[in-house]
Formats: sequence, C-alpha cells, structure tokens
Amino acid sequence: MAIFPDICPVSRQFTAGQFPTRRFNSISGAGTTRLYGSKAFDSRLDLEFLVDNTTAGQIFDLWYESFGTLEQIFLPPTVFLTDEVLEGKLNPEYLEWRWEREPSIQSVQPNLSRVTVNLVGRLEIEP
Amino acid sequence: MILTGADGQLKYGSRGLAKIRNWSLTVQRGAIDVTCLEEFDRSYVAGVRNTTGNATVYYDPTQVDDVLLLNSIFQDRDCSTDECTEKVTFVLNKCNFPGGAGTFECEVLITEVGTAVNVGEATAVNLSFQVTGTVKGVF
Repeated sequence: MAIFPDICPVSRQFTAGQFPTRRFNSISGAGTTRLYGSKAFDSRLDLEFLVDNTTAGQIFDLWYESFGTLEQIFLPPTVFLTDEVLEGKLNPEYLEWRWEREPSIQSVQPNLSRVTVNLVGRLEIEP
Repeated sequence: MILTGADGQLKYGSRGLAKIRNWSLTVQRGAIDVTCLEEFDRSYVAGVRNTTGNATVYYDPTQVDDVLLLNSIFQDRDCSTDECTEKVTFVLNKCNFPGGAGTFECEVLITEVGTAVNVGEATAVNLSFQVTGTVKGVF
C-alpha cells in the first residue's frame, strides 16, 4: 500500500471531477445531453511542498513504489483537506487517488526544495 | 571599550587604502516562507546570505592603491580567465584591542563609482561593493 508522507503543503488546488455526459446536437442546433453515470470522476489535486531532501526523497520513493500512475496512493489528512466541512464535499470516497504525472522538484537552496505533486481521483471499475 | 572611526580601516592592495572617509558593510540573510496551509502564523527557514557595502574615498591621485581600486570598474575582464573580483578587507579594530576580531575579508565586485566636486569641499569618490562568496571574519 502506497501511503503519501504525512506533510503539509504550502499550496493546494482542488478541481472537482466531471460527470460522464455527452451532448448530441441536431442539425438545427437544438440538442440534448445524456448522462452515462452517476459519479463524478477525474478530480484533480495539485500540491506544492517546500521540504528538506529527506522528505523530497520520500515523495519520489512513493512514485516508484506505486509504479507511477498504476497504483492507488493513500493520502493522510494533512495532505488533503483538514476542514471537516469541505472534506466530505470535495473528496468523494469512491475516488482513488493516483499520480496524474511524475512529481517534479525545484531546488531552492541546500537541503530545501520545492516539490510539485499532481494527483488525479480515478473512478475505477469494480471487479 | 567603544571603538571609533579612528580604529577603522579599509584594506586593498599592497598598502591598503589610505584615505577613507567612511565605509559600511551590510550582511543580510533571506527568510524563506515555509508556512503550511493549516497554520495561522507564518514560519520561515533561513535563506542564503547577501553582503553589500560602500565606502567613500578621498580622491588623491598619488595614492596608488586608491586609484587602482577606483579604476577597477573600467577594466574589461573575461571572468572565465581573469580574476573578476577585488580582495578588500573591512577593519573595525585595526589596533587589535582585545575581546573582538572586527575584521572582514571578502571578494567584492565594484558595482558603482561616483563622485561630485563642490566648492569648499574635499573631493571624494563613493564606491559600492557587492560581495561575492563568503565573508571571512566575525565581530
């Protein structure tokens, strides 16, 4: 089980997932939108951390441990939302967090780096 | 013991700068904001140091080292092959009174040289320094 380090970000941006809809337009311009599922999917969570080399290494270890975008990763409360009111609304339980892309690191000074993490909340097919 | 300007000195070249009216050296340290989203008070870690200085030198064309330092701003240098900095030593305590060091040795780039001539005043030249690398010395 790949668990994200228990660290607090300096920047966090959440984008809600989209619903599986499709718009069908007729030749007149009028159309209809069909819904193909009841669950929003592919929500995004962009995080930025200012951390020492040890913690930055833990984040990169997690990337390799979860085989990149393949496996689910589990987020501790400090990483996501600590506000109880928002947490239930923004983070549906049926979504599984995975890497959206590889983490990137920007060196600030010796033993201090800015690490950018981009996650996506996937809606997986239940076996 | 309180030191005065009489105990100060600015050294450059073989004999040192002879006619200095004043000098200053400022060491600054950046503060990097590492405040987490959950906190209500800002947190910082120490950033990198930056040191600058300036001095005012009375203009005396017979003082070889003084003129050499002033003219260093006119020298075109290829920093890949030539020495690009000047070695300058700021001295607070030239008589070596006990209890403190007060000497700061550093490599500097001359970033500004300016002068003005006024009736009834000794002509002096203002110099600004940007220190590169570590300042060797303590108070």
